[in-house]
Amino acid sequence: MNEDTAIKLESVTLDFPLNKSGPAFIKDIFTRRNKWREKSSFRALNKVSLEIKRGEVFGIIGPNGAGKSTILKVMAGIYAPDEGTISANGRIVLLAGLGAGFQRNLTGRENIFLSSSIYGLSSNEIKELVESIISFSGVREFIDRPLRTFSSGMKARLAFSIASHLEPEILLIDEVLAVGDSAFREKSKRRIINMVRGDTTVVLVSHSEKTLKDLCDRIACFSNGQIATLSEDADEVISKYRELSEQNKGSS
Amino acid sequence: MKGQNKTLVLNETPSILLAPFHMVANLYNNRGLLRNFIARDFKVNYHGHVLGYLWSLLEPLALTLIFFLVFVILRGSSDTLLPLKIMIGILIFNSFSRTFSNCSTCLIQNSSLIQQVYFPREIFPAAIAGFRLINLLLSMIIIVPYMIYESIIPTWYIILLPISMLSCIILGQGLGMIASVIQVRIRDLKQVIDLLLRAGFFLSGVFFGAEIIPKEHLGLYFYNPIAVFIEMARAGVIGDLGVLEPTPIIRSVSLSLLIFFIGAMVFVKNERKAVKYL
Repeated sequence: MNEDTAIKLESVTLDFPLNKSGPAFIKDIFTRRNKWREKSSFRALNKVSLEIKRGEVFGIIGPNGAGKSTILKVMAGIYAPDEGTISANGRIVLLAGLGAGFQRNLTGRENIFLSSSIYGLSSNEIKELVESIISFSGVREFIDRPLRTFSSGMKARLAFSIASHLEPEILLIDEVLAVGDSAFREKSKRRIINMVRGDTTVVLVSHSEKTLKDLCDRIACFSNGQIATLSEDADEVISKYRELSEQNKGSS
Repeated sequence: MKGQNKTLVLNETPSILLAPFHMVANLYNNRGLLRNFIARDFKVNYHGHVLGYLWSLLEPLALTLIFFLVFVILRGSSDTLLPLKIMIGILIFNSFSRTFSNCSTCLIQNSSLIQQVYFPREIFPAAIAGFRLINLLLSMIIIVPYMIYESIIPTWYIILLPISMLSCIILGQGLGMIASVIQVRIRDLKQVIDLLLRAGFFLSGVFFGAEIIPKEHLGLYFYNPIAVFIEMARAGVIGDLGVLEPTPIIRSVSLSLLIFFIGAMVFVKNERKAVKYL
């Protein structure tokens, strides 16, 4: 793989099983044994080929159910493609829903250690970062109390603070992470923009046309598990996206 | 996180025979995370309880007392070592059954985490087994006062005890790993496993020694690996094999290893598919 490439997907196909578990699954085994394999899956990604360059900010937009979040999860390694290959250069972190691995009965500090190690930091790295994580989160006076005593805003701030300290080479962001009160929101927005502007490779899934237009070098519009348009020209992609959204409204 | 510029191919699946070694390598590479998960289990299980870790000693002690009383009332047993045997039986059986049933639900229990972050999923069953093994080691302390009271001096037979402890944990982990990938599709499996474990409790000699089994049925009885592990642990502590022979020991330990390897293969090969059903 080329040194300048951060992530490379080659005709990646991913099928999801359709609601086949529990009684329906047993029934299938007994009744329509042969048909059971063919008609039970939903194609979430259909032969997607994509190459994301190092340092690039890549935007993904598209109507609901087009496969935007799925492709991020494939890039992060959560789902393995059924066909095709994917390779990545460097450490990947997916930010989709914050606070992975948080335990309500552990203290804030213990949760920092647990969650960061789940995201792949070593204990030495965590020890170096823990002070900075606590001060950025602004919940220092509560940090040695159990997480269940935190308000949901405080939990979110702690989670965001952990996420923003991970400093991976490739960052996958699903929707904009706006948490906490307005002051913290402003602080976190600046932090994201700094990460995006730096040398980190970023893949950003968003519904916000403005965010994508402001930040991204290239944007792809997804539709039915395929790339409908891919361009450096944000307006072209966004007009395609509006067209697809209109079609969806019309058909439903 | 700097300096890890090697290319990672994300969808490699190892060949089936290499799967167990792949699993061990993954666990070694993520040992920091594994340690954190085991530490979390300790904190979550004992934090905020007034007696904390003492509960893991009190529970088997209380059960021993109950079974001993029932047994003495029903049979009028004269075996002075019976309380010790019951304690060991309960500890070994509980470690096996908790490892098995917790491992079998590990994917479902952690579904939200699995969908948020990727790390090798082998860590879940391994963390459960590690927690149970350490817990078993710590709980074994309760037999020491009884050994002193009965002035039992450990002989070289004592090596049967760690072998038995390790075997019952890896058997539980192996079975649990197989069950965990099936369970994402057939959730009823949990009820089936709980039922089997409850039946197994009465069939594995937890609260009686193997010597009360009629001679002609002993061969059959020792086809149950858990019964063998319990007898092994007792023999190790007491320093006397009793009715146990080497053949069932070798058979049961090899069976555990085999099931552990099969479990690793099934898990590594199928967890990627299983995750889609979460």
